[in-house]
This record gives sequence, C-alpha cells and structure tokens, in this order.
Amino acid sequence: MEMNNPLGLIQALQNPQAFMQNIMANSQLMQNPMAQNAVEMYRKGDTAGLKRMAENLCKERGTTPQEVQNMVMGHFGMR
Amino acid sequence: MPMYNPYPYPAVPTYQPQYQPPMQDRLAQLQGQYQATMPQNQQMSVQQPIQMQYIQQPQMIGRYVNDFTEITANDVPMDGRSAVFVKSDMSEIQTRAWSADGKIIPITFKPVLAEQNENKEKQENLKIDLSDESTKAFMKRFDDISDRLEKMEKSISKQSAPTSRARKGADGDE
Repeated sequence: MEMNNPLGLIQALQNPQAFMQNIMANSQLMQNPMAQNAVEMYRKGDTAGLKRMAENLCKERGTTPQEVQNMVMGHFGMR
Repeated sequence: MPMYNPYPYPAVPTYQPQYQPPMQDRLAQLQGQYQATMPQNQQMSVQQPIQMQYIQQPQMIGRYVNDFTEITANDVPMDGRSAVFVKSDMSEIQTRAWSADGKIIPITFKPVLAEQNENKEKQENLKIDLSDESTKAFMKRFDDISDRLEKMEKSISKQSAPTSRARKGADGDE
C-alpha cells in the first residue's frame, strides 16, 4: 500500500488496524529499518516516539507536521 | 527455356539469421541434456529441477554534486539503502541514509593519497625508533649517575670512619 495513493491514505484513516496489518504483511516494506521501527513503536504504543519520527521526517523534508496536516486537510476540502 | 546456372551456390553468401535462445532457455536445454545423460538411479534423486540462483548485485544510488547542500531528502532512498554523493572535484564523498528514527545520517569520506599514507607510516616508525633510542640513552645516563652515587657513598663512608675513631680517642683522653 503506498501512501502516495490518496485512496490508500483514506483506507488508512478509516481502519488503522488493517492498515498496520497490511504494512506488516509487506515483507519488502518490513526490511526498511524505519518502517520496522515505526511498527515496533506502534506495537508498544510509543506515540511520543512516533511523533518524534514524524517530526524528524518533516524536518528532513523541509516542512513541519502542521504543514503536512494542512496539506492533507486541504486535499479533503477541510482547510 | 530453363536457364542453366553454372554456379549452383550463390556467389554472395546470404545471411541467415539464427535464433539464439535466451540464457534461461539455453540453461533449461543444457539441464535437459544433462538429465538425459544421467543413469536412471541417479536421475531419481535429481527429479526436481535445479533452481538457478541469481545473485543480485547491489545497485549504487547517488550522483555527482557540486556541493552537499544540493542534496535533498528525495535523493536519499527510503528503503534502507545508502545514497552515495561524490563532489564533482572529487574532494569528498558522502553517503546518506535514513536512520530508523527518521533522520538522514551523513557519513563523509575524504581522500588520502597512497604516497602520503606511506610517508605517514614511515614517520610513525621513525618516531618509535627515536623514542627507543632516547630511552636507552636516558637509562644509560641513569646507570652512570647511580654508579657515581654509589662510589661517592663509599668514599664518604671511608672518610667518615677514621674521623669518628679519632673523635672517640680525643674524648677518652679528656
């Protein structure tokens, strides 16, 4: 499941549990250390760690979580 | 009237394209030939086709850059592999990879000329040799000094012994 696909994103928002199961079933994705870490943090319920990872990712891409949130909201006309 | 052709074969050889099977087909063909030549009892153990394992060569991701500031997050793959960036003047090479916590970790490699490296090793060896020699010289000096001190101690004790006797004698006379 690709996050670039808006349909995938909608499905992820509708059923995060199933979304995570899909991710875990994807062996290619699970070879990625970042995905492994994210899944592990999700399993442990480490929301602070996930937040930190999201912030790091945004920082590396020259944006902020707030901007990303606004962009996603804008896609759904919820700005 | 049928024309008589004195040359039964064409003077210019015609190009007949031959079909060359792809590598896998060729391998399957060879495998078939091999199995056909195998004795029956051995063939039973080799029923399953031999699966050829192709070792996938790791592909290098990266590009030449004038400066490392040109590199964006999109240049670094998110599948765990490292991207290699080479400065166009070859002064530095940098690898960048996403870490597990969502940060890009750069590692910089700087060139070292082989001759310089050899010279450095020689210099280090020289330093070690010099230090050994200097310690030997110091130890010799220390030995000399300790010998002199022993001699001086002996001479002082010899000198002090008769004087103490003389003093005792002088005290007894009084």
